[in-house]
Amino acid sequence: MNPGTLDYLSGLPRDRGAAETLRALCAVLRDFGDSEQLHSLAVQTGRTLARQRPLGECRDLQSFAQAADEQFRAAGWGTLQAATDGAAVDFRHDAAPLAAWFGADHGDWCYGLFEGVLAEWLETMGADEALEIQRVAEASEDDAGLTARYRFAHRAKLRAASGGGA
Amino acid sequence: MSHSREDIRNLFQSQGLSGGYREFGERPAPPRREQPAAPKDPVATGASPAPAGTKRRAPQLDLVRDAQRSPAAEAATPGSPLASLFEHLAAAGKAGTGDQGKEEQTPEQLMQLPLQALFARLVEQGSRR
Repeated sequence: MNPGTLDYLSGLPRDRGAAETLRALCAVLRDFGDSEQLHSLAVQTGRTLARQRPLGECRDLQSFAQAADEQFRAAGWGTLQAATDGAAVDFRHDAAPLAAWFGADHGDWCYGLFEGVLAEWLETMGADEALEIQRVAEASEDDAGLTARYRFAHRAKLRAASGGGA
Repeated sequence: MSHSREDIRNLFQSQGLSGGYREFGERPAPPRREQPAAPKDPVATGASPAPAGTKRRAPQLDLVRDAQRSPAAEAATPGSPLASLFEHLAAAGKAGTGDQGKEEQTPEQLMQLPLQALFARLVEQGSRR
């Protein structure tokens, strides 16, 4: 086989067994560590993914949401929308791949992956360290967990909303 | 002070309570006839006299309506010294300050706010309780 062909083939993505592998890894991790550590692991993984996909300059939230959505689609992560009322920014992640990657019973810690992605991008844009992003669970979750919601706000507000102490 | 039955009977009757106080077996007293109000001097009240034979109705007592009126609402009724104060405060609130103007931005306007300004606003929200 000539070197050019070999290079080409070795550079092709090997996605076929990736999902199955991730599901198996998730099951092992779930039994291995506590959810807080797993969540932290997922967040750091997300940050790494975000650094590999920089958004570029974004003037306002509208342009940020547009750039982030483009990256989500390009990466096969689904779609992303943003809205704000001035007190928080709400992100809606549709066609999320978490169930496909980690299984339907993946646990909440997996949401840390995209918490990390969004946090890394927002900090790159100059977000204050007091601002955090957190997945928001809703009473009426959508079908098969294909939609996830995240809220970006001051950590005190996020804790108050989740019932924790400030 | 002891109350005789006569005292109690007189008390009931003076209050015009239907049935009144009565002894066991005693028949209820006949209902008191509504006394027509004495016609007022139309010149003094500025109202035209009622046609002859018209029975003037007593003011209606609406406990529900009256209970819904809070003391503040009572104070704000026309003629209340607080009414002008409330009007002033309402006008001041509508005029708005810089922060007030910020609060009134639409979601679409907030989407186009420079990111640094948006982040600063979110941080400010965190300090509010």
